[in-house]
Amino acid sequence: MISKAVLKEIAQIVGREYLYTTREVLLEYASDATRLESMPDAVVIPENADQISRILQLATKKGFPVIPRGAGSGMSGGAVPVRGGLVMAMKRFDRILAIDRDNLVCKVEPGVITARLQEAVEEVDLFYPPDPASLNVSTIGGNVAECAGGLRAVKYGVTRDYVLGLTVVLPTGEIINTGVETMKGVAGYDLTRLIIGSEGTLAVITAVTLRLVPKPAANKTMIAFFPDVSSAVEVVSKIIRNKIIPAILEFIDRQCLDCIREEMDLPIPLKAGAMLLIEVDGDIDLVGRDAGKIREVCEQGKALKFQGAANTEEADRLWEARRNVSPSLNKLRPHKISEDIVIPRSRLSDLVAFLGNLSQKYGLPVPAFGHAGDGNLHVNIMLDKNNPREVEDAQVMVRDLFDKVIQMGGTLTGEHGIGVTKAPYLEMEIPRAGIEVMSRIKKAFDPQGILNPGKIFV
Amino acid sequence: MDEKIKQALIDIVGEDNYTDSLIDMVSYSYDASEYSQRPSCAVWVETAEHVSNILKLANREHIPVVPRGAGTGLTGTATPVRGGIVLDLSRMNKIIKISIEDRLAIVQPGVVYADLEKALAHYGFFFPPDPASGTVCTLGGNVATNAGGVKGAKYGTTRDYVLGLQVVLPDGRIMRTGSRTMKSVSGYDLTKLFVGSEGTLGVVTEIILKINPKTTAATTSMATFDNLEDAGRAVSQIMYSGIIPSVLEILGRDTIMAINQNTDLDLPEVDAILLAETDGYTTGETDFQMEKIMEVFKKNNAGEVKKAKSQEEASELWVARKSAYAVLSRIKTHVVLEDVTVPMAKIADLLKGIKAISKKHNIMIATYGHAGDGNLHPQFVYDGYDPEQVKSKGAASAELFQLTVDLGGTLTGEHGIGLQKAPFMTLEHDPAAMNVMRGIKRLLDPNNILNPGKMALDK
Ligand SMILES: Cc1cc2nc3c(=O)[nH]c(=O)nc-3n(C[C@H](O)[C@H](O)[C@H](O)COP(=O)(O)OP(=O)(O)OC[C@H]3O[C@@H](n4cnc5c(N)ncnc54)[C@H](O)[C@@H]3O)c2cc1C
Ligand SMILES: Cc1cc2nc3c(=O)[nH]c(=O)nc-3n(C[C@H](O)[C@H](O)[C@H](O)COP(=O)(O)OP(=O)(O)OC[C@H]3O[C@@H](n4cnc5c(N)ncnc54)[C@H](O)[C@@H]3O)c2cc1C
Repeated sequence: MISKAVLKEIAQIVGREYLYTTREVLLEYASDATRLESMPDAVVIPENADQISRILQLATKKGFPVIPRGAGSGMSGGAVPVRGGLVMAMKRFDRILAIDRDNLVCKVEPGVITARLQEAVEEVDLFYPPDPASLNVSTIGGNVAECAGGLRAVKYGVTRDYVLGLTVVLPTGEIINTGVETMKGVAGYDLTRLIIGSEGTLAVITAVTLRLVPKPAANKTMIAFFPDVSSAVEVVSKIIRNKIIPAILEFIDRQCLDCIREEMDLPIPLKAGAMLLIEVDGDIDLVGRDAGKIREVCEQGKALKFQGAANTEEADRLWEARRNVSPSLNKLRPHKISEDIVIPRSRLSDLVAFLGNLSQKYGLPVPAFGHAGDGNLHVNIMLDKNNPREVEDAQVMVRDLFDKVIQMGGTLTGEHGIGVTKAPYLEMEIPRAGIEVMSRIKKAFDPQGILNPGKIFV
Repeated sequence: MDEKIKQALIDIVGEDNYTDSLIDMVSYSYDASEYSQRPSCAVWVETAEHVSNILKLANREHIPVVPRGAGTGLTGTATPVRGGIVLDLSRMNKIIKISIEDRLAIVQPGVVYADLEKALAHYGFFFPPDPASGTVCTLGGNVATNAGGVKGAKYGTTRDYVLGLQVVLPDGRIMRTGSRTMKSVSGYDLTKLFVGSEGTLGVVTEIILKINPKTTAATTSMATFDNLEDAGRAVSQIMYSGIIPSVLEILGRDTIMAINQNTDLDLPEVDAILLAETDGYTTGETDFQMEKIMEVFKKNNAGEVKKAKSQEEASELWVARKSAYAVLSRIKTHVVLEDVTVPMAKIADLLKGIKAISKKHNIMIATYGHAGDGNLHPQFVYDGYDPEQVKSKGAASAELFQLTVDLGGTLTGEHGIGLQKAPFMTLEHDPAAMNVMRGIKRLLDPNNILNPGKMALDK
């Protein structure tokens, strides 16, 4: 609990109108996209780094939790105030500070919505590639704190690959700059990348310097259906062996296809056991060459059907399939546990076969789709949460899945983070020494443990 | 070395893998920088267990341990300034696995960059960082210094390719970080923390690297500029044009003059020469890209603009750039190669500033480097036996660092801090940031045994 006296001090720092303790507001900030719920004691909406610094000093002195929050679209409970305390909403940090065409960088505040930044840079023919599916709501601060990925990661990488430097407030109140405003730098330990993906547990981000790239001149979208997963995976390998790294290489399995079949304009072959959605981008000549080669590879590789989009409307229609997947899965069961595992790409067929067995063994559907290009699959365990037996089985299935993934040399989460939901499983992947090193690092930043406690390692 | 410790080390690595002979101690006393200090002994390790046992011993006895690859570091990072044990990793030189399907290579740290390059070429793949020291430096050294190279503007640096590591911590525990996958956000990014940590946090014993398909065609061109602003603007405009050259290098006037005086290359004597390469899979494609770059050159008042018509002509153009370091090294007794990096659009300002500093302190500073990512290499050329010149060199480099930071830049783009730039760390980093770095070091290496005295960590 935060005492009345302390709340008063916080109100003095930010102004009374930016501190909230009413139940409706607290409820609004009690959960994120995971639907986990835990009430904070108060919500504060600071205006500048100096205010944050004073609040964090107070928190370190008095020992109450502070939970930084962007849009609350996190999928692992990162922004949920599991130990109560003060939620710090970064809403007012919503300015794009500079877009520097000459140096291909921009500087933004963390509350800027991802899509808004993308639009702003595209207006000057630049490009910010990370594109989490949540980009219309998620914030740059949340993207940095979770190291968000997206569809284009196979070619362009993830948020980490675009962050050059940060301004952050340490839990003890110091404001520091990390990293560089240049394209490269190696002076000292890489604090920037340590803070990226740290899920708001090491520092509060107040400004972000991002690298931009020139906007690709052209792109082309294609779709191909295959009789089974292994022929799709073989095609993926062949594309890469042909030295083409597509901007997007998405995979959808049979169960997902069955769920979207009816709602699609585009006829899906009945025999289809897998679909690939492929997009290439870049220089106009290059795009033509790459698309031609991909078509060839698909046709040689047992594709039941191949279709290339001639224009953006057609591309949009092809995209519909991928976009419809997630919502349509609820036809199978009312609820889902959605995992975000990554495996070495060569194990993709094995993993999908394993999912089939898993589904059969427990009688729950396990549709999968995701980023085939980088081996990042979204595995959905479908269940009815009102049925205790299914809930119990699903828990066991998650553990079985993680066991398999680790055994394959994979990782539990490619882009959603550990947060609360995966914290119990972290030890399956990270050896004890690793967890211990992480907690020592946490101590170096946050000796009192006030910043977003109860996340990552517990 | 204390006899008991010597024996314990021999018990761990075997008689053949231990040395304390004078001649070896002298060779281990320096790297490619101006610093030197003899260690007490050196050991060649062959396994992570060797490393672990040595670190346990050293940690117990509080003996400094300095990991070493090929010793090509330019900032004194591999110099055993506090004596102790040099841990030579060059015999851990196996390529463990290359998987094209998974787009990765798993290697031991002692593998020489060029050996991996050869092995990957066989599959039509490559590991892009491409440091100029590639024929000798080790991948462990590349990871520890986050090495980069001429292809940085398009392909990034070592950091962008390290997916996971096996590391031995200062207390001897062996730990894995990262995974074999292309992405992961499981907990803090320890992998990237070890990359660039210059052997101060852990000893790298295995590396998982992402690899790229290798391009098969390239086009090269050059352009001369009588005006630094024009050259600087051309660089920004190229990077913005949508065509990302695989190489974009700059040679400043002093470098050009020195090359002309010492070779028969006969370069045009102008304020700056830009050299560009585009890469891809067909000459049609790389020529097309180069046309666009040459248009930008011309638009920015380039004097001569020339495209190499053949492989031989291209090689000739590159000889000038590649000979710069060697040529400049022969002029006086000493050279120091700097590694400052500024935002791209500040390149002209940096070059002009360097000219002024050179004049003020009456010391030769010849500049060349990676214009495409703003990483320039001003090379100080001086007589290291003349105290007057040594003093000028010191004053001039301090001014260079201040200038760089004032331009929004960083002291080092790829060579690291080591000993050489340690006194200047606080120029770039806030005291609170230094405290965090020191806190991390202290918590991971409480006895300060691993490569002590570097990076201003134990001030
Ligand atoms: C429909 C849907 C689709 C999604 N698709 C993707 C996808 O394709 N790829 C992907 O990677 N993710 C995806 N996500 C997950 C989520 O959108 C991302 O993790 C996103 O980065 C979270 O941003 P946010 O602003 O909502 O952060 P929040 O959920 O508010 O916070 C996330 C974490 O960041 C911390 N944080 C937020 N701001 C700051 C700050 N300024 N300083 C320090 N810490 C901070 C919080 O403490 C918390 O730990 C999806 C989510 C949904 C709901
Ligand atoms: C002519 C010349 C050209 C150069 N060109 C470039 C260039 O283009 N780009 C560039 O980035 N650099 C360049 N360098 C600098 C140097 O080659 C790089 O820094 C290289 O990465 C060092 O590798 P090494 O094996 O020689 O490491 P060393 O010099 O032996 O060691 C460097 C640092 O790494 C640590 N280290 C080495 N191995 C390990 C390990 N396994 N675990 C933990 N720590 C370890 C050492 O302790 C030390 O701190 C050049 C040097 C020369 C002499």
